[in-house]
Amino acid sequence: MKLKIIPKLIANLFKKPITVRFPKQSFDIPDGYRGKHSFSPNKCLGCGACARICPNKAIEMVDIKQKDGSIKKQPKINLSKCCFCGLCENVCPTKAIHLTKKIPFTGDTSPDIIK
Amino acid sequence: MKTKKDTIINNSKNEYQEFLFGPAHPGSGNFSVKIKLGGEKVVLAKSDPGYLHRGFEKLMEYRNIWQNAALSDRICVFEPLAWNLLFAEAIEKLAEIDIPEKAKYVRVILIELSRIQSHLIWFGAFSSASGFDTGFKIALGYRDYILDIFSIITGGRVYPTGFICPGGLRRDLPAKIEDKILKVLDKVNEAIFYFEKEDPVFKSRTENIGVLKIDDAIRLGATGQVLRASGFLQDIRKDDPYEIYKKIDFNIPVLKQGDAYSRFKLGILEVKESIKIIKQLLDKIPNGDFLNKNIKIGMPFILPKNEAYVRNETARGEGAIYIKGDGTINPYRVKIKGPSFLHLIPVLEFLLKEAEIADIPIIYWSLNGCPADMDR
Repeated sequence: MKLKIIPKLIANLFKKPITVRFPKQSFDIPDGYRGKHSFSPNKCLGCGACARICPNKAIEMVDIKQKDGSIKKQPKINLSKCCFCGLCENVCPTKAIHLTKKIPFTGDTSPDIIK
Repeated sequence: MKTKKDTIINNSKNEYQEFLFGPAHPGSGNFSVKIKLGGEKVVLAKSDPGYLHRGFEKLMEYRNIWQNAALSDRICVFEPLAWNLLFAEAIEKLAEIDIPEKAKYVRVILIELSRIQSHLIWFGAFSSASGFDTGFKIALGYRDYILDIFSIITGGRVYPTGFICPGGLRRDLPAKIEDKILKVLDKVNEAIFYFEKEDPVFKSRTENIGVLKIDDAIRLGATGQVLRASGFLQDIRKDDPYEIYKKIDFNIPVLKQGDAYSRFKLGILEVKESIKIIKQLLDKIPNGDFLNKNIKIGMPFILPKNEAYVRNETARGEGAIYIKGDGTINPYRVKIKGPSFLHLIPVLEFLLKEAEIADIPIIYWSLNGCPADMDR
């Protein structure tokens, strides 16, 4: 009868909520998730393959002054344009760029979002 | 003697009102219909597409195949994997690329999971349109279990961004994924248990509403479940098999009534068939490569001077892509045929005529349309 709802209701009272308190807590993000980029400047050759393959033109090659005074080209990733397809990771010859499991993308200033 | 109710419904004063259903309406979802009302009945309905037009066909002419594979997700928001597969198949047919056996199996499993989640989100939207909000919450809650599987396999919950790519798959299946998929299928069965229950209120709102007879369905170009709910047996998975559908044992459910309720019922039967297909394939996934050995991800290749046309059975009906190469790395022309185009213009206009104003959202959602693949 309709009273079948009552045992379910009592059972649900003692269950943990299915949601978590984001951003302090988070679900387990699986390996291989396409999240925020990690970039290691030391490995980068400056070839620009990532900028050429990017579907949304989110990567721009900019001149960066090195410690020894020389100038090297490095990618600048605009996360607000990025579609997180991971093609930059696939084409990078030295694996200098790869997508990590980081998912929070909030920032107060533009340097937090554009790197 | 005429009552006041008769005067309003049958419009004896011949007063007409015009208004827009959508595009920023919670019941329509980025699609608008211009409606002319006489009393409570629709006199004329005219679909007004274009609100979600993003120009995919033109964008694809300026991008190479890898960029287009990532772009092809966004053609339909509800089932990105189906459009990923269609684009990959079109390139494979154009450039005559073979794909490994393992990739074919994984593709079909992913497509059927995608079909289930697409149907679940449709059950949710349909329930919400008929005033049954609990159904919306049940459907979207259970859909998330499938999205978790997608995030493990493809790396993204909703958008795989070209996971099914020309030549096979972008990466291999993770270990022990079969057990996780089986657990999710049990959860889907729970959701189906709720939707299979005959709710008298939901039935009274949808039965004999928006009846599309078989002759009209064929004349107006309906495909997929809209056609099958009217009693016509047609499914591209059987008629023109792609991937490994030839080897799979499954049935095509057909219903005869052609009303909104039978379209909903047919959706449930299709989800059951999809579960059957996935269970058949999970034990049989062969070992081996997941990508053609001559293809390197991210390396664009020259498309031959040729043309190709592929069609698939998506969750909404027949989806197709025509592609023409001209000896460069970008395609010369891409034409996308979304299944919702014929459902949301000729079929919807036909069904809305003489319908009552309260039935508009129900007729609209019973067609399982996606404005995104229609406007493209």
